[in-house]
Amino acid sequence: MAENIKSEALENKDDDIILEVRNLRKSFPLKKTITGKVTSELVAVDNVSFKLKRGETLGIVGESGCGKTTMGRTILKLHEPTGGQVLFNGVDITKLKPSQMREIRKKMQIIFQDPYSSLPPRSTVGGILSEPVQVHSIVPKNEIKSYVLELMEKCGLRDYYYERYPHEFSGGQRQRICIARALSVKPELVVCDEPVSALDVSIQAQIINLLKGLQKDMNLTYLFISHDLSVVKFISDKIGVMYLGSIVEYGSKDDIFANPLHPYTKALFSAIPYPDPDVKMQRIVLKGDIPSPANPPKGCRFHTRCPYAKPICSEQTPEYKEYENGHFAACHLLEGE
Amino acid sequence: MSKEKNNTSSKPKGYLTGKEIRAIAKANKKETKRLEEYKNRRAKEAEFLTEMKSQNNILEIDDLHTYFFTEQGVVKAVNGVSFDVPKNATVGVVGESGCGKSVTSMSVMRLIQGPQGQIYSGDIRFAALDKTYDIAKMPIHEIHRIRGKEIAMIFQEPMTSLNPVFTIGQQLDEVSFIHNPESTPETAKAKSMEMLNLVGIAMPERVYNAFPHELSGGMRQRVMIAMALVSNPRLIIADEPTTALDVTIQAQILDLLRDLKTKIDGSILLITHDLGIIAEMADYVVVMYAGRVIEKGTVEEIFHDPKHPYTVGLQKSKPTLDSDSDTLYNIPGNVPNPINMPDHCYFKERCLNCTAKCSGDYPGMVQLSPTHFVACHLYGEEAVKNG
Repeated sequence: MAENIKSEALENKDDDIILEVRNLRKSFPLKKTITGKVTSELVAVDNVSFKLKRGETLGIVGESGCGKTTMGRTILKLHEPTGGQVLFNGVDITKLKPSQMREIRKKMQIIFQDPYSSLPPRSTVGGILSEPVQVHSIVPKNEIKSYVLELMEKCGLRDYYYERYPHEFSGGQRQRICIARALSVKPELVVCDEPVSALDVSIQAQIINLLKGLQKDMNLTYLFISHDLSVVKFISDKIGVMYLGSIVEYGSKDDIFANPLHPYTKALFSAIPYPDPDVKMQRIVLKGDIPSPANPPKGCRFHTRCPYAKPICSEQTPEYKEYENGHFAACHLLEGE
Repeated sequence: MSKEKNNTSSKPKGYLTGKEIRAIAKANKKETKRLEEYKNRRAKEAEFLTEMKSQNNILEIDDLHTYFFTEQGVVKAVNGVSFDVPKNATVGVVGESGCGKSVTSMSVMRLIQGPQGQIYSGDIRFAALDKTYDIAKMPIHEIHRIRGKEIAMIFQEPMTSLNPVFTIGQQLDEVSFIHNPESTPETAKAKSMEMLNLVGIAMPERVYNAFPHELSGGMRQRVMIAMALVSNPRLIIADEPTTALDVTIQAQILDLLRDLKTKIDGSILLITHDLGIIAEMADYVVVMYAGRVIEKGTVEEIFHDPKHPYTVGLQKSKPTLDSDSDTLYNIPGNVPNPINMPDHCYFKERCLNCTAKCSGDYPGMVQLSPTHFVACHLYGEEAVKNG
């Protein structure tokens, strides 16, 4: 079985790209008939495509309910995708059997948002960190403890924490435990799902610096999901902006910040309060709320709130195209230019 | 990582013996009983009337102590906080979680959950229209003269602060019925509709008849603001009003709050952890750390000339959209345990500019300008003389 995976991997090998997502789609059924046919569905992730190079960080920003977490989980196959492909090291993991998936699991890990609810309260830190090592036989049994202690030191945890329980730690320390747990199986890709949004500003900075340092040391690739643009800007090389399930703009960090194309990206940037009383922002305040994903508007999904909407926007879905080198966007306004 | 720490690890710190727990429980019971009796006493009005220090202020908090009597010991959540809210101004209180900023606002509203939580000492002077009350000394059954009428509060979580079984209209009208004895159902409704219009709700009639679950987060927060405005308060306390909202919705709510201040001719006490919001909204800033005010001043003083190492660190550790550095500045360590606070400066363990003096007493407030105060030994009288 393992050989099977390898041969497939060799075929599509493009050694730089660690993750490629092609037209990924995930929908949840809302209503079913008696025979099990789905009559209405909620499309949480719609036609998302991107490539991620090894050692880079892709930041995904968007407001709550835009599907960024669902996308992260679908890529890890924690949700079964409804359509599209996820190529991890050239292997399409959407087609793999659970037993084959097991091999890949240790290569891709996730750090969850809430460090208070994502640690088992009844095991010690040592137990939490050695379990994945044991399950995936990362190191021989007699070396597990020394391996875990070394990992704890890397993540800024003191060695006497080994015997302690999660409730004895503050939020920042717990997030360090979560990070250590994700890294214990020597992954290549780590999905960070809002890892710092539950933390205070001074602790946030510690965790972000830790993540950045570990990325250098262990050559990790991050998919960094957050609603905080300034954090995403700090940690990412590439940025994807999501709105109602699809990526509306994607590009390198510098391109997106220097020259945002999509009106939603512009509004998002201008909405962030700037910590200087002298700076008076020219703010684009969007009217209204995010439409319900169960009943998205026709045409461009953003047209209900877009300050520049044209008649065509409510009729046709704009195409997701490359406008500059490596800078993609989906908007009718750009096509005329 | 240090050797000494390893040696102490065999004796777990922070665990109490049964004897100690019983002693704490006994002491707590005695104290809370006394404070509860004081809270529920019958008193003549003269007992809780007072005078403002300055006629320009609407609220003066003076050496406020709010304690929580827990099984582990006394948590001094607010430990000697003093600041003023001038008339027609926005005062921002900023700090990390657990620094006591919410407890301060809850103390002003007298919403601290007893018997564990108690206002231990201190004064909260509030200038109502004709009289000046000392809120901290008011018996709890007199507080309705002020709470919800003169001072209104906007809570963080609009989802949990609205009653799910009543319509928005019923909940808004209730405020009029309670605080204005002359109101009839018609006038109450008219007032509610006026407020819904004021907060920019497009279809007030529909929202009036809707239940909270039918509204989105931003709409609910608008309803909360409308509810706070029904009784024409002179002070609005906004406790993290936008933390639960998305950035684009946050921008809408902040715009609304800024407009309102001019419309209602009142003051806003804005509590948040986001320095960006403070810079945008506030006229005066109070920075809190571990239950104490460590620095206060006008918004320009705090952002252009921060003095306390914590304020400086807090501003540096927040990534901004135009910062380009490779690593983020971070304040090492954690906030100290709120039980058994040290005698010296609470920030000493995390501070990079410590002097020998920092191991001594807790630093007092040093005045740097008519409005700028800082509690740090670096700016003591001697330090100023020396350099």
